[in-house]
Amino acid sequence: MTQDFGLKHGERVGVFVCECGMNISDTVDVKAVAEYSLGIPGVVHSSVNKYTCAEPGQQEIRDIIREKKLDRIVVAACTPRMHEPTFKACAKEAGLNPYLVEMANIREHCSWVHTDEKEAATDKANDLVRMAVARARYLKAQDETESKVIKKTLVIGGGVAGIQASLDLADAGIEVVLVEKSSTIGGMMAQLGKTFPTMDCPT
Amino acid sequence: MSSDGQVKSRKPCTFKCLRCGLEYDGSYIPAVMEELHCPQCDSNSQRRLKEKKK
Amino acid sequence: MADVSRHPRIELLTLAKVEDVSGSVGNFKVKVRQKPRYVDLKECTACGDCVAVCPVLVPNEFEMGLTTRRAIHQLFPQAVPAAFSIDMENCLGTNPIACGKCAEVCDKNCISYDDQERNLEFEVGTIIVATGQEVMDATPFEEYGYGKYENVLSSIEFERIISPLGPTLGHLFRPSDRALPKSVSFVQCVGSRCNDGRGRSYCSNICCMNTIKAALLIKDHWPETEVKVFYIDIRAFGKGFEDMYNRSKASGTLYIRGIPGEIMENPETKNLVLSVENGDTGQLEEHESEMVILSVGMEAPADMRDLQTTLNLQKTPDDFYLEAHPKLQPVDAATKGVFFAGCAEAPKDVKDSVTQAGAAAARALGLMALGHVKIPAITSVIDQDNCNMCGTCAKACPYGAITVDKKTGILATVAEAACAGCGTCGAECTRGAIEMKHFTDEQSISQVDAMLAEKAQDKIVVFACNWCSYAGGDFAGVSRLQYPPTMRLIRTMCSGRVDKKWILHAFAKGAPVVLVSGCHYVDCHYIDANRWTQKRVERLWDLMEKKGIRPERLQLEWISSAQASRFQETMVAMEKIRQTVTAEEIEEGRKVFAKNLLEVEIHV
Repeated sequence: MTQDFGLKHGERVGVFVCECGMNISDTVDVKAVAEYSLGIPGVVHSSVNKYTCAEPGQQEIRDIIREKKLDRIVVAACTPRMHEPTFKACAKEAGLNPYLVEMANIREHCSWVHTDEKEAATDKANDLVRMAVARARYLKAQDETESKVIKKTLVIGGGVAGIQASLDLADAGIEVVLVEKSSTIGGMMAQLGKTFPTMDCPT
Repeated sequence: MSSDGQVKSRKPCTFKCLRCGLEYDGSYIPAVMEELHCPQCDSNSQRRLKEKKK
Repeated sequence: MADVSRHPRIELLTLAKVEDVSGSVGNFKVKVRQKPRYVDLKECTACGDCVAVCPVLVPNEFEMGLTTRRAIHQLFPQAVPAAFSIDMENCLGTNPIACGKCAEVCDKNCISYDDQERNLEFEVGTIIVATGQEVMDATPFEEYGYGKYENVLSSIEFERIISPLGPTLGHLFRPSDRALPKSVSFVQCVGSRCNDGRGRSYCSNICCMNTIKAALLIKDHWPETEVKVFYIDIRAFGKGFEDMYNRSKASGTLYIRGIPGEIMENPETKNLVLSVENGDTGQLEEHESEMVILSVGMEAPADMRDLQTTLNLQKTPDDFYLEAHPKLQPVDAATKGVFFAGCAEAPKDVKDSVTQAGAAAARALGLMALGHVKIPAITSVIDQDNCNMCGTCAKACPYGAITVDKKTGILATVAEAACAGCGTCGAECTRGAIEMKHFTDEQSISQVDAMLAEKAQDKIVVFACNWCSYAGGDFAGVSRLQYPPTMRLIRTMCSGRVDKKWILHAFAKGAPVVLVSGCHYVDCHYIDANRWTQKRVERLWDLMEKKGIRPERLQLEWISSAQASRFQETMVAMEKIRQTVTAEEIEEGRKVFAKNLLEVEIHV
């Protein structure tokens, strides 16, 4: 049924399929996706979780990474724009490099947009997982370089917001350069006689 | 208008929308990239046809 | 305000403009140009001797032209820094022989007509953008007679009139006869919620409360004054706001639902007659008033555009800056290390501005407290052995992060801290000498292969950039917008990363349709990297035509993160195109590109 996409080496990928309560499982047959995943080259584990992002779901990922010596994981759940950082951190806690985590977006890009086409949505979810696994097998561990952050801030604009931000930072020990285009700070706030709701003087 | 503030001359050109198939006359500024939209279907798949109609 | 000038850690640069910012989070190099003040800030004691002798009178912009000031001036008495400055456009003294009176009279010799512009350069770790808002111009609303009738004022002018520190020391008067008006009318939503092109379509957030405040002030000081407010809706949603509204109504201010269609002046009395359809009764009514205040809306200052380019920020259609996420990162810019405070992001009142400023300061502090920031490992890596110094990558890099010079034999080198990871260089390099960490050719092509391994003819290959079109797809999901289940999406950081090889590879593997999608030009998160995407797609259309493959099978769309329905419509359109692609055409594509494509097959 499936083919080997040119990879050879024994990657050990774990696939974690999320029900997201019923957000995914109402449309996508998550059990079928998990079963399908086991047939994808490189996959040595798959399981279904009610809420993968919740602590029990993450704990399961951590346990299985250690138990089955996974060297990559695929989380089939929501958009990576939401929970990729969560699963990266989770993998790291289990000793797996965060760059070896891949997500398949079977919620925003699948279950939520094909609600009346359960079979086609499940087929698509299978594909999305297969694609994620294929990419995952080519992922490489990465080290993030660190870059120094100078303890000085440029604040552009000397109205009430710029003034407040400058004072907050300066009080916290940060050097601040406040750049204002006019000859005085104050901005629009300085033009107000009284301000609502307290009806007091703004300056 | 280009970023240096000079108005460069636009060249007339026929565009073809690769989504809805509409062919229409328009113009472009050589060497300046612009976001193109189909006047009919709003698609960005707008091709400058080589053969420019006079 | 005075705290700023006293604070040992705040350097205040007035009359200054940020000219250029380079570098990235943690280490931005900033260039600031400061106009001459012509008055020595350190020496000036704001004694006022100079002002007394200055012969020039001009309208005071701070007082909205309701009073005058001298060429050497302080905009208002509490100005910070507490020092005068000369407005050289109006000063007679550039040549001291012409005037020079202020310099003569200044005991401390702090006035210098030769003061020069200063260019400053320094480095910072974070940037807070607090560029504020401006009031809209009421002049285009000719039916209200602003600028024509003396007693029609804008809310900001009224603000100065009623301010205890303003030109009248807070004594209410109307301009035509300087008498206390017996009746005052407020007209709401002037320029706000306006869709006819003269104003802005959004609600300016603060005008309802500002009018309620003004009405309360009038009623507090001059209870006999008749006050009417003409409105569409009163939006008193904040803490304590509804209470103020109720207080205002209880104080006798009349709130009338309906915006006047016209205001006419009685030329003799200079009183104004407002014609309005009362929305509660449906009756056409005329209301006479001795003074009318137009509650003008707020808009983004025009000079925000310069900073937008300098800092590579995005703007919303409203012209305010776009935050990284409306709910989860409301004060972050998409450019890391840059934050928004106050009205730079949207109109807001003082309380919200202060709140947001605190949030922006905390976010900036978060980066600086740690003292270092991790750079995501998605940057480009150059294999110099394969570099022929053609220079394409350096040209394609929106950040100038790549150095290469054929003449002096310098192989391409990338400055990792400046690389944002868009991948355009990688896609443009014809020698395969550039690899993007975490977005390699193999990683993307393996996804194409996995997608098309079965039933390729039923599938639409979509390449989408992380920031806009992928996010637009997310938004379509959140909005439950339904579309055909035939598309499969491959994410890149920027559409500029989508390599020609990937697209041709997809056709060689039997894809009926390929869509490349990215941000609209104004939204590109990598300055202008998506221009390269378009050039590349245009070249491919030519190639496809030459090879007898319908160019229609390759589509290009710009979809923003907010355009859920455009995402949906695009997917519906792609499916329609897919259905026109015949099995023969797919086979032809396979054959034609398989021949050219030996180099893109993955050898592992």
